[in-house]
Amino acid sequence: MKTEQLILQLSKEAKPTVAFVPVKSWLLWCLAPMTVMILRFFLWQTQSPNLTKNFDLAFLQETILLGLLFGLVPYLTFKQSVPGFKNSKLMFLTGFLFSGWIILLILRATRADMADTQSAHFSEGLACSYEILQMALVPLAVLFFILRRGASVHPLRSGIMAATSATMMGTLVLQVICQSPSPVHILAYHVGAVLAISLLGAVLGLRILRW
Amino acid sequence: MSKITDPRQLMIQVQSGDELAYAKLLEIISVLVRSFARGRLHRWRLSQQIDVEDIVQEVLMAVHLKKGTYDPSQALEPWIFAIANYKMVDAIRRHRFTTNLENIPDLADPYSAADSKETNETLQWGFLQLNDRERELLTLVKLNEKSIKEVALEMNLSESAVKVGVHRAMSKLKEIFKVPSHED
Repeated sequence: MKTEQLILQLSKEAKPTVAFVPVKSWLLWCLAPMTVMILRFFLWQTQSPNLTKNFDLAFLQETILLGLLFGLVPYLTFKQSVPGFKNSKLMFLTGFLFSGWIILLILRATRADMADTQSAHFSEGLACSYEILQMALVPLAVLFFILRRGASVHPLRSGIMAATSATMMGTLVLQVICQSPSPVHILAYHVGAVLAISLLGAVLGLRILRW
Repeated sequence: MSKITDPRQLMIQVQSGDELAYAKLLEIISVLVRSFARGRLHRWRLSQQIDVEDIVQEVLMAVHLKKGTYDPSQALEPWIFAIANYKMVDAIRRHRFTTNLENIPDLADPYSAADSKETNETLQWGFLQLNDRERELLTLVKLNEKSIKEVALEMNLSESAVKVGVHRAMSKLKEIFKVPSHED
């Protein structure tokens, strides 16, 4: 078919378009992890909040960072679904916060004494990873569903960011309720779960977000 | 015909369903993308291998499908060029894949390949490196020219399993024959 014919054919199909607004989509999507969080507390309470936890400055810093990441990563993911979007400052800030969270944990792990690092038990750890995965599934599915309406020109990057976004609520919840105060535990089983799910997001992104 | 010539204004009209503005906008986009793609293909020395019109048409289709993602408060050109770039990369990837397949001794036409005894032996040797299932899949799909659906039914597999199997077998063959890629 010639290009002129295609233009003619496409122009005949002109109809009012439903706009894809990243901010609206982001706010709409936020309902998914919020609902999962509420359901998690009321329906499948596997761990009860650790009230003996040391709510110190490091804990506060990590929680604030996670809270910011919970807002920023999905926002950026939706923004990225618009072709031509370039905001290196926002990308840098998100990368900075994410690495900041990991660096804080590493610093805390290097300072922790042996008894503390040994408290990173395998079974407890897996329970945390499993819970992050459980809480990420529905938000991830909703996120991919909405993102398919967009037009990401970086499916791999968008997939990774979508998966990271989906894990953020679970990580934030576990930050508060997790029984283990050990930074090694958080690094291995919380950050580990986030990274593993992000890898899954990369694969899904390449398959689902191509258009 | 719409008197507006500013692409951004045209796009705003298009989003509200204006047919004339849409035709005009698509024409402007096709001109923009044609020169963009021609320049890029020339720079990457692919202008002989990839048809610019294919890319232009793909971009027009993409614009048609994803016009809802354009934010009227932003300039239109970065949006179009991001789509064009995405589609160009796709086209180049596809071209590389088909070129690599074409470089494999003639799988689609084994009889002409068999004209040369040496080629035939090489091909047979290549086939022997595959496992039974891969060999069967390639024989059915590529040599016997059966459809994916038929092969899936015959081998009691899902259609996607057949596609993946054929793809893997072809990749393995490419490795075996060490076809040089563009990166080499």
